[in-house]
Amino acid sequence: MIPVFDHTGPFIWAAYAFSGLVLGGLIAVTFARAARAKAKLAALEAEPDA
Amino acid sequence: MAILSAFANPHRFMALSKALLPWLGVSAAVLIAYSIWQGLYVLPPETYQGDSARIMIVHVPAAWLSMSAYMGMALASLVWFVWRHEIADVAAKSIAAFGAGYTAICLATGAIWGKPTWGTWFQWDDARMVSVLVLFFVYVGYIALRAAMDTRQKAARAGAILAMVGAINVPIIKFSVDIWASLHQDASVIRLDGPAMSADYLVPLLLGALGHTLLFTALVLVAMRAEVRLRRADALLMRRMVGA
Repeated sequence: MIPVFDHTGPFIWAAYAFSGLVLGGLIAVTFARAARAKAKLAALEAEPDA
Repeated sequence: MAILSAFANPHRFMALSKALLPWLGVSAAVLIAYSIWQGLYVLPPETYQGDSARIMIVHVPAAWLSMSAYMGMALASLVWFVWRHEIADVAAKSIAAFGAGYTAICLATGAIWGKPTWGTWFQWDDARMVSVLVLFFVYVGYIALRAAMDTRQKAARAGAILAMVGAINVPIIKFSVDIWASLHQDASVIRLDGPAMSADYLVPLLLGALGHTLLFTALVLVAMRAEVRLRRADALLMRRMVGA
């Protein structure tokens, strides 16, 4: 069920959508970077010392 | 100081943050989902602002976090500057991107709310709006400055100085609406004589703010854990290069 607002409806949706996009982007980038860092360290630790 | 030193140990930090993260993530998701549900479906239109007041459920927590994140970054920078705790620099670096993100949300949702309410997206002679825009530029400048340095030590030093000097902007933002004539309204929640907001809006707003604070903390911890691992990997590589 989509709520119905007064004439400011598009502004409300825009505000919530923008916030969701920014937070969603930050979450995605943060977890992708964390996964890369974990994989990089694991690969280095798995290599035998020269 | 002893407590600070105990948490400055990267191994202890990794263990503690690993235990905390699931709790932070779940609590944040529940509280933010509740505040969005209230904001979009449950709350009645506000008496004077109508439906546009629903934007406050997102805007106000973002505004609080943009300032408190900066104070966290400045404090971590001070700790690094005085005691040279590596984890404090990791914290300051990790906070910056999320502080900038929440400041962007604050600016954008404020502008989106301002257009139907005030008739303008942004007012260049309004101290509150301009000082928050400056805060956003300081965050971006901090990230760019660190990235421009060729060593981690230089990046930490330059970033710490900028973060500490830039902290002067936070009280300017907070008190701008009291000091200067402003289109932006006075504080409506954190006031000496109590909140000037109806309980309908206040409760979901405060719970949403708590949820965003927990999300912010969780994201900073994830970013810090990644940075600790990257630094450990660099140290390992360096040791092998020296040993080869």
